[in-house]
Amino acid sequence: MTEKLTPVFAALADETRWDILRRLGSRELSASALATELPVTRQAIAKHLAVLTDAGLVEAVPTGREIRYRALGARLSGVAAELDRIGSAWDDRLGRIRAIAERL
Amino acid sequence: MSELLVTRTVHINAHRSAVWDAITVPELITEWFGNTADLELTIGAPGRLGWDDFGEFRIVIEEIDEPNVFAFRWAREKDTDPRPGNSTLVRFRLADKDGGTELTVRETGWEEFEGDVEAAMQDNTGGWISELDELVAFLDKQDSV
Repeated sequence: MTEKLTPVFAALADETRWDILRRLGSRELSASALATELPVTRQAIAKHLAVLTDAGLVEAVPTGREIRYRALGARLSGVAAELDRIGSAWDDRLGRIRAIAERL
Repeated sequence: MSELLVTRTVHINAHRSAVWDAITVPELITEWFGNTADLELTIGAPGRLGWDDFGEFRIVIEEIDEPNVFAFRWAREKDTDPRPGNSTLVRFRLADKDGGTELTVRETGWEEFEGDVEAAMQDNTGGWISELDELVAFLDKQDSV
């Protein structure tokens, strides 16, 4: 993975953006459609979509007269893989802590 | 703000006081984390964790509630004081469970990173590899006793 993960982490650290991602994960939606589903203004949705797009988590799909957005799984699985790696490191450390505590 | 976090739990057949020592006493910390550890159990006190292959990383103790909670902020850049934006927060919680201790660790703060979080994570992986070497050495030592 050569692209930077920092913007991805920052993009994910927001409940509304998680909500948007979840909805876009099940189907492509326009900013207006998202605004009717979430308790947030259309302008705010547009800002969140810009952050998500910059982070490579969603992409715009021109559909007829409107622009819809779709979630991109690759970046998310990249994040999941990194978090999983960090978790494995902790599994190993906790295993060693257990060995130490049990012999004390 | 939702949080990106890594959390893991382990059950240990030992009293909480033994687990507390394993995670807070420098001579024991170096058996599971890094090659050198220098810290004082005082909130706000600076400390250092050293890896022979990667250098020294500074920590600050954030929470001490013996023998329940121990937390420190861990800088991911060498020789740099930790603050939100260049560090993660590691928080251990200990609880009595089934005659032993349940130890849970949470690492958070990834989304606050200002620098290259990916490089920070790779440093972490590097640290982990050297820790595996230590583990093998430790197990060998146990076998020969």
